[in-house]
Amino acid sequence: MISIPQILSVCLFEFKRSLTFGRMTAYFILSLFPPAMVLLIANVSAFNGYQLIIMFLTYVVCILSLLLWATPNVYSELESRNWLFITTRPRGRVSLLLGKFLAASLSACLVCFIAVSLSCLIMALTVGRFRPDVLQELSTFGPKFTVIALIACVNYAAVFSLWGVLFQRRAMVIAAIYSLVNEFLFAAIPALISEFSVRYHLVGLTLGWIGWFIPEVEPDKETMEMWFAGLPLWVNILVLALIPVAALSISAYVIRNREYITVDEV
Amino acid sequence: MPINNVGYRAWDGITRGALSRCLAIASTGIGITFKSQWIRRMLFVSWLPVAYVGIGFFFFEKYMDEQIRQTIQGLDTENKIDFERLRREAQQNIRPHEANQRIPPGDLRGALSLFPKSDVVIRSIMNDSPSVARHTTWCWMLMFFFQYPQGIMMIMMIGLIVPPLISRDLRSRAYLMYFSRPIGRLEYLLGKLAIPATFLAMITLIPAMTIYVFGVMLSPGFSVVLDTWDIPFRIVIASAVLIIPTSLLALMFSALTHESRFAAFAWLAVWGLGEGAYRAISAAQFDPRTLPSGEPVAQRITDWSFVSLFGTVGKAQTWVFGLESDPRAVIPFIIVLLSISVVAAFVLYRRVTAPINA
Amino acid sequence: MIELINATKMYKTVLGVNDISLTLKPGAYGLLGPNGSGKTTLINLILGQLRPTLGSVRLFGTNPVRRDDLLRRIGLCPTTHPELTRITALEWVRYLVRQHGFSMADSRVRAERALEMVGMTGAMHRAMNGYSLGMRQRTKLAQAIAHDPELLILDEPFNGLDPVARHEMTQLMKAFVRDGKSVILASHVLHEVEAIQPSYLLLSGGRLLASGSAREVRDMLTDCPNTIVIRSGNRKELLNQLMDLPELEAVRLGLDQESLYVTTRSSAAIFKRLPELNQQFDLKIRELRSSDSTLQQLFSTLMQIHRGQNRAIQGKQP
Repeated sequence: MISIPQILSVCLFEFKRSLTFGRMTAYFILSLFPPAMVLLIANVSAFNGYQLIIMFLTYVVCILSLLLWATPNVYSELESRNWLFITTRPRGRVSLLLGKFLAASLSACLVCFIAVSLSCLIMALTVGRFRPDVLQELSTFGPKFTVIALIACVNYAAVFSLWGVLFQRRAMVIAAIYSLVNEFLFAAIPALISEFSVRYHLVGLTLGWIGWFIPEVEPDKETMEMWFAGLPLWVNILVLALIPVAALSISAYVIRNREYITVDEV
Repeated sequence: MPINNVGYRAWDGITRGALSRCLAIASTGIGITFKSQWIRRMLFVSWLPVAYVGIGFFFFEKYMDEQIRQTIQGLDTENKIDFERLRREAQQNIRPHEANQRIPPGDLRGALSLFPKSDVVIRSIMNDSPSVARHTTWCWMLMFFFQYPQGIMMIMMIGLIVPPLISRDLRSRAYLMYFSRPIGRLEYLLGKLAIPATFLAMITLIPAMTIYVFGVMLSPGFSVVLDTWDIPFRIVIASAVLIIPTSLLALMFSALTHESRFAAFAWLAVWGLGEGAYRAISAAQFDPRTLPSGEPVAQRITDWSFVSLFGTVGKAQTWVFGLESDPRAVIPFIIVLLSISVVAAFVLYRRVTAPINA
Repeated sequence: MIELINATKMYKTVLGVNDISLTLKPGAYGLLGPNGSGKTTLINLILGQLRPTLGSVRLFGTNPVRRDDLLRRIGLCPTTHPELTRITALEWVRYLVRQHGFSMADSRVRAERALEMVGMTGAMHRAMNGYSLGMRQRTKLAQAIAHDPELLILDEPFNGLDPVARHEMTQLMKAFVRDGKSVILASHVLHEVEAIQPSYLLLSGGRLLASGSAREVRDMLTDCPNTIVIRSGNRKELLNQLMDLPELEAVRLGLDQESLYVTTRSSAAIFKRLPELNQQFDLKIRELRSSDSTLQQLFSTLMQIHRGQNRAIQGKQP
């Protein structure tokens, strides 16, 4: 059912196609947005909780980049009339799904990696010059958070791919609604519903791995731990490992069985 | 052999003017858009907030009953309200749900303090005459209605409707069909602009007017209309503030690409990145550790809402509904919105001309 | 090779293909029908891209839905043109060949060879978005044949091709059939399909109106009500003589003083009588042709038969 060379060739082809001015501009803006904001903030404020800002902004660009690259997985092929050419190949539909998922994940990972690295670098060069403790913090925060960001990219790429397969024509807006409602709103509700969001488990993983990094604000720490560290760390890791598998399995099932009808077909 | 003239023949009858051409483009677009089930669903969902704002109006009118008013005032044991403290509490909390936990149960003022400009409303209810308090409270509820549920609905609605409007014409070369007829570029653009404007009016202007009528119906008598006669005008202006810049911006994105998904992405990115930037800067400013000891938070706060389109539109609407005490503070936001509208209109006009000039 | 049993495909309330039953053995087939007649839907049913709402489809003896092994044996040239910026023909064809499981090197060789066969070697390193319609059509054909399929399905493959290219394409398809492979060629232009001398499948309104060899279709039409054009140096006498024929339905005079448009229930009867009349009354017949040469008229005739409006050839229906 799955052919690795086929998936890789779809992924490679996607990267070749993405070498256009528009797409490169999108890469550029998304990767440089967090460092630009960190630079601005570092110059207007001696803010200590820079990690939160970097995390928040990286999360925003991760979501946005995957809205662009993961959600139109089926629609872009239908819109560019490339669908029939690829889906009439053996295992073409699943290869298309997984190849595009891989390309979207790698693109988002690249964006997040650049964003986190440059943001940390800017913090080190600005605040770090007169505060050695910041340099110390960055050396542990940077690598660990990069890994968490990459995990986020893979998870959201899989979830958004599922939206793309289910609602090919309105996938981007529906995925945006999903992000707003489930990942921003529901994830912040201290109830069972929050555990059904990717963000809940990402925050749990961050708390478990990086630790809480604003120790001065005790109520915040307590609240965050109460809400997001409610589950053992291994459960968070397990859920984050299962989400892509589950989302992609459902997507593969749907894409293989669904009739995608273009206007040219009647 | 007879040679027949099969070329262009001028129309001898009477044409109905430029407006009819705009209407033809708009009505066709609206008809096609309305066929989408998703749009119809979203329209339905967009009207749900009318219910809870309506309930707000209902309870407010009940509150205006003197006896109930006194009862609620009686809950305030100290008989004075520290608005600054309430505002500081709200601002220090980046995450509203956390602040929620700190509010003692049943404290109406504390709950209201989470919402922008609530201090104006509370002060008015407590100190002003019922007619002034009514005007302020209605305006505040309508502003809240425009800014939050309908503001977010507007982003999604435009995200669904506008991206293909011009990009599809560019892709399929349909502009050749348009411009081979006596349709000017301005007529084309106005026709296209009317499509999102109509749908946005359906989720802002019309429900807000419905709420207003509902409020009047729940009030003690028709004299209320004299107190609130300006609110319908404010609703119209607030709708225009929401509809015109946003529709023009989305149409501009649509005109800049042949692939509608890039237009949709650009639209979502503008809101996402803007709001992200605003929240990041606000969080940095509001963090207590950024302040030298003893310095009040309020003095350090600079309003960075203009980096977010959401915040900019919201600020302008606050002013439209008369809830901004210092109108000069709104000028930068108005300039931002005007600039967006002018630049978007200019780019649109240029882009629509581009295929003809090519 | 292909078997459809009462296959019906509905797109919600729109009927794409309506109750088609047919069996196709290996060979060349011309799938003819006006635009919107259901050709593309039928092709998608055969490929397993669509499932029949009613009935069943079998390709190489099995249900083609989700059968990846069958797709290896098929080459498809759809009617749509892909929109790919910055991608060359070689990259695209190679990418698609690679989806069949060929190695990188192998897929390159196959792609180059296929592009050479369609005359695209010179332009294969150029980006496809700069191609003319004809070049795109050739590239599409190359991707369909590059993996050496047993069955080639071509949907309107001659669109945008100049006469020389059409001839080359026709030769390519003929060679393909000579090698013992099968071709299904969908078109709405009869003479495009005639060149490879296929069997015909005539579709209209989602229904299979007729099928058979070229000769069978022509024979069937001989007895159809149709209009024939006769140019004669003695038109007046010709008119007098035709008036006596019982098969005659209507006559119209042409503008050129010589032509006569004769509508008949049986052109075969007219054709049989004309030589005799020509000799007997010195009719000076210069030209005799059927005005029902276009596919649309042929379909109108067939639709009349299906509606029972012409009983004369009911018995000859396949």
